[in-house]
Amino acid sequence: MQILDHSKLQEDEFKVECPSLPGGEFGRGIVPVEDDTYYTIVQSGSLQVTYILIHHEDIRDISAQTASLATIGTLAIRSRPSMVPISDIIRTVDRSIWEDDYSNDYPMEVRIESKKKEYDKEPLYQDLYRIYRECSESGWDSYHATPISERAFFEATKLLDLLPSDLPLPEVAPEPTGGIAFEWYKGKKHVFVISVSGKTSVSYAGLFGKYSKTYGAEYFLDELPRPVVDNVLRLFS
Amino acid sequence: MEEEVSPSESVAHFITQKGYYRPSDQTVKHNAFMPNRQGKTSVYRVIDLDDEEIFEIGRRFVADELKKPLMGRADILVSKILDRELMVELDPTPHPRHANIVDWPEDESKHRLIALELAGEAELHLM
Repeated sequence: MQILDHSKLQEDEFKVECPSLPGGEFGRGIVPVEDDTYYTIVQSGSLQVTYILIHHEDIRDISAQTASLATIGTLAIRSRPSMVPISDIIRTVDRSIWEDDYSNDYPMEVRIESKKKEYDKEPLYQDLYRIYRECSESGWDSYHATPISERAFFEATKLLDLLPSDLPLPEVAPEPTGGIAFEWYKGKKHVFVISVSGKTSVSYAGLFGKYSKTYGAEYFLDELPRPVVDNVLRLFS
Repeated sequence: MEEEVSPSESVAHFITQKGYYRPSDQTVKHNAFMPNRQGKTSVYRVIDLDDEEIFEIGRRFVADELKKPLMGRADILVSKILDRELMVELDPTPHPRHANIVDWPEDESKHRLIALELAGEAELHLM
């Protein structure tokens, strides 16, 4: 990570100049976007965060704006180096203490131009975060639904990280049991769904035509269970 | 309306979440029929009601509770539920037409499969 023109920025705004995210303060420092064109830099003095997007080919094009913690969280998730666990980036904010902060905002849309296929997953990270925010209260669907826990959110994010880039992208959706579902859909009778709820397991079910179906559960920690990949491939074969 | 739920009548699950249906082909997702932790999927009997009357129940007794707009409903024939060895049990709170799909199997991983099948049989009605 290289800042091309320090003179444009306040010296004390920055503490780090390497791609790794700061380990301590939430959102303080530099969040590199893994792309040759854009870098995203954040500075946080409080829960209100200043966020600056730099176009490195035109360093004069710097605009700072206020962003929410949610935005920064989204950026951090997307941009984290692979060795940094998500749980080290996102920290729970006690909303009862910080009622006036900006954390109720939805993540800001940030467009990142890239040829890397990996970035196709970006909207899904946003969807995951939106689902977590919308469904983290009990009864979110008015039918006594279980809230989606922070653990479920982290687990879903990890699952998304681990999805091979050559698999078709799923849709994500909340489940009333507090799970987050990933769905691959070809038609009413051709659909495969997996779900995580923060319990180190993946539950799955699929319909492969009128007569073929499957369901089950697998342990999930650091590797995507093989039946998940096999059944997605089966659906689209 | 009969006191017993007939296999030939339909029940509706009201939808207040975008993630419960697919706008692309107007179909219902499995999560609309997944039971909650109490093992119940909430539905309303819609027999002898027209569209507007059905949606009015959804607005008053489901969406308003969440202060969210009602987006639609997923209708399904009771016989399709019974085919999966589930039951429709009357539960007249908060409305006399309210019922629950119950008797879900103990194996929770099977819930998702059954919910997928029910969703495949359901008919989406958007507002």
